[in-house]
Amino acid sequence: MLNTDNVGRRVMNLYIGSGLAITALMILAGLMMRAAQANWMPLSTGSFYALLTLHGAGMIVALALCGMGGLWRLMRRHADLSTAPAVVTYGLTMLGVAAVLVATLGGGFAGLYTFLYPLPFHGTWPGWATGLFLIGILLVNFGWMIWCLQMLGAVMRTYGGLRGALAWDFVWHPQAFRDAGRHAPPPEAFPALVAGLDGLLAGMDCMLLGIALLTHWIDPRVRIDPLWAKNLTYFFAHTFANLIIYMLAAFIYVGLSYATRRKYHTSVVFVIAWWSSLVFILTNYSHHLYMDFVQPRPLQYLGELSSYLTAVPVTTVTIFTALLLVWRSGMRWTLGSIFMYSGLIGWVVGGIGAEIDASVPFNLHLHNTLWVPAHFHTYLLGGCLLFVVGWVFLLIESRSARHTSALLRWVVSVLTFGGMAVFLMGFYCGGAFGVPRRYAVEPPPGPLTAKFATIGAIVMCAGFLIACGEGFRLRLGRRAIPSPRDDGETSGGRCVMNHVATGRRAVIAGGAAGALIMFSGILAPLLSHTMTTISVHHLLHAGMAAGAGILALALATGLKKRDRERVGWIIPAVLAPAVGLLLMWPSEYAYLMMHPWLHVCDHLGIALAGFLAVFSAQAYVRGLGWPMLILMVAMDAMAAGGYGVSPGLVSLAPPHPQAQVAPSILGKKVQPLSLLARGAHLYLTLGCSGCHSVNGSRRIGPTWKNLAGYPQTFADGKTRIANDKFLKNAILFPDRLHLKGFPRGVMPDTYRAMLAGARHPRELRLRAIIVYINSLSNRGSPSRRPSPNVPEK
Amino acid sequence: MALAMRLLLMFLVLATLAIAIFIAVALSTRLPAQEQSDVQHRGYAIRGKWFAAITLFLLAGFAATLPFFPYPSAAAVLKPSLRVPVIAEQYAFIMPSHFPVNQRIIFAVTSRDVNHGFGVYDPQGHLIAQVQAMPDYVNYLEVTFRQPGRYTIRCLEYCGIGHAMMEKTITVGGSR
Repeated sequence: MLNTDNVGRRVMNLYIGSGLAITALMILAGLMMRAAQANWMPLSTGSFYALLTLHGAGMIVALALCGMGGLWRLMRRHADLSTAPAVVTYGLTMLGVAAVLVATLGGGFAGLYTFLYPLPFHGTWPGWATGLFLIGILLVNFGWMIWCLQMLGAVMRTYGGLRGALAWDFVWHPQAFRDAGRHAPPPEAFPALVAGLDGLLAGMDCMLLGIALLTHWIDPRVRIDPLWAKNLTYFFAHTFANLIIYMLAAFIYVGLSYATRRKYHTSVVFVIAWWSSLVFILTNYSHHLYMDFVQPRPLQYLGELSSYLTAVPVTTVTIFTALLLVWRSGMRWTLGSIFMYSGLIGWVVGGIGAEIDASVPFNLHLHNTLWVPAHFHTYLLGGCLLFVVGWVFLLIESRSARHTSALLRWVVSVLTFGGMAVFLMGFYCGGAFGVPRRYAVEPPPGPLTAKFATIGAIVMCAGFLIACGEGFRLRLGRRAIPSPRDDGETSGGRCVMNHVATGRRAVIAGGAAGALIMFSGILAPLLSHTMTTISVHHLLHAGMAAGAGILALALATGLKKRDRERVGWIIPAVLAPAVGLLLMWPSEYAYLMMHPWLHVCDHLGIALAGFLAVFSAQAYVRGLGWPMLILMVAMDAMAAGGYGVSPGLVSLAPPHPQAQVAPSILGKKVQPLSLLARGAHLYLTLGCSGCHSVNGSRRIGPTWKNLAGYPQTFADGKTRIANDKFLKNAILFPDRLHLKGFPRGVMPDTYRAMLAGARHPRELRLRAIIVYINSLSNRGSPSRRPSPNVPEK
Repeated sequence: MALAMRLLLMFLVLATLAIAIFIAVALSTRLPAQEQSDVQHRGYAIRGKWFAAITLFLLAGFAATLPFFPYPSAAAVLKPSLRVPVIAEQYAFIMPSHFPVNQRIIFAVTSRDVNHGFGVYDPQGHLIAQVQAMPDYVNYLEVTFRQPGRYTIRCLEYCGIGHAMMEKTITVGGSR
């Protein structure tokens, strides 16, 4: 199917192999969570959420790896892509995955893969786990940015700058374009361009957010605006996750045209569709913030409009053209083509679910219910994963002398897609019934839908396992490697970039202006000692970085040819912005204000970082400096929104009508927390949840559900009613009673010191736990079962 | 039928239609194969119509949903109503627990620690409204309880390992 490029194949196999291996593990984790929600498997709350964190992060990274490896391989047929950055990206990603694994499974980090500020810092897990998780995410992000830079650089170099890669002239000046003997880039160059460009934007965003959180982790004085953090979180997370399916579109373009023996051309409509996707991928994210009513209203409108319109290019071009490829093509239905074609269905069906959820009035009833995982599982599992599996099968089948029998194809299809449909419907039905997502223990009918979903998932896994076995059988029947031949596809209008000699005067003027801006920024602290706000400070830094970047662009024109285009330039281009952000450490400003010369040094560092980032990008590929300059200045300016800046409740913008009401909340004396709520909180924070369930499921110790008020049997056969006194003794002196059917001496006796004794004269915390245990029983003592509505003093 | 149920039905209808189209296209591979150029010629004509139809449909959908956006306007917040402060924290809602029927209530929702959700479930268990509870910000949610009974407030934004237990029952109507 593809030409024999051994290096490219090895890189792709490494990426896709690792991606699929991680995916398999994460499917197992997902299955465990669904089984736990169905009450079929004991899983403590802490482990559930740690697993959920791992599952989310792992799945996104795994599928992204598959897309990155595949697209890299496909683009290597047209562009000059060296192996080193691909290996560095892989190494960084794997390091990041390892860090996330240790943080979640070892450290119990359960702040979720969205690590929504300030949750990572308010958890029951140790601080190191939070730090390690953030570092892991940043490592993955560095790897991702290196990949994006290499990919963007490659398409720009091959097709004549950004303008050429966008096929601008192909659309607007078709006659002149043809007359010049140029060809439009091949279809798969557009996913590469969009992933590179939008991916860099998302990467910069993640870097800013990650470093802001990391500085907060090291230095809690660094304040962060929660709304700002939320916007950044979802911009990054949505864009990154969304780009996966757009990257995998390249598999459709190449794979389906191979399977149908037809051609997938770049047309004007196709190019315009990708232009609009380029924009929509970036503007869609704000539909995650519909239920944040303080979010600026225009962003909410934009979110819905953009989420709706995003369906137009996808269905009109990629999906429609794929259907046209298959229509009366006489395509053979091998496992590869079945998986790939079914992936299209997953994309469309998941999209329908997404569009319903992206409607603000409906979102009011669906947001953060199981509907959300329903739709994204449809297109990650039923779309992305099937594209990858289909791609792998098409590759294996193209070189295998063996064939899959019709019976086996039917068995695999029925099990995989049937199981998947049942699994997904569990989510959709749960969502329609209002069952919240991310609940370790779901309210009804959650457990019932989870049972169906678990069975569906097991059936689906059986289908995948059989497919996997068949894949190995086909692989063993490999034909001898065919003689080297290209697969007939032209290298897509490769054109040497026009090295238009930039006017020397313009370069000198630009450089001088850049230097002027940069140096006035650096020296500003010497002229003025007055402390401006942190936001203004960040904006000044952005201006300074802009000056440094312009200077860098001017100086990079003088670079000798042999020093250009070395892949090593990618590393400083990615690292320098991060260094610049670290030098903008907000809580240090007060100190720097007192020491002007130190402040100048700090500014010098920021300017240098900006200079280095743009210079390296421009040196790597001419023209890449401009996007880098814009991205970096935008990132520095974005920092003004919330890095070290927190609005505080009272400082809500006064013109906002809602602001006048805010003090009434502050002024209201906060009611004390009810004993019941406190008990529930202690259940989780003191470690009770590790051994005692509250839903009747069996763990090491007896469940707390229907414990109070019921007779308990001791090991010696005697029984006693579990009244408050019994419970108190059981908590404080666990070694004195041995319940039948439970191991002795397992419960620690440390609770005596934590809850009773001289330091706890009123034993409030102990009472709270007993109230909570009583509340879980239908025979709980009435005196101890206050209505949850009445807060106890 | 509750709105969410109707949405599920709408989803199932649309998904079935989409799958039917895919199956029809898949079955066409059994027919004698055609040249790609012939298929494209007819296909592009259909594509133009599809493009116009889906774009118009989505734009119309956007316009149709606009009046139903739940964000209270400045004027609405200032209109006479029962203003109820809600403070969410790990893992409880600090708020009154008894509410009148058929009165406009504006919940002023904020959080003391992390992001939480404030989801209102009616006595039948349907999610009737929700808003995020954010630290440092106040979100205003307008709700009018139309039927008396026991409502449940659930947290709808993951807030830590006690997330699933963060709920509160409130009563609407009747004598206190």
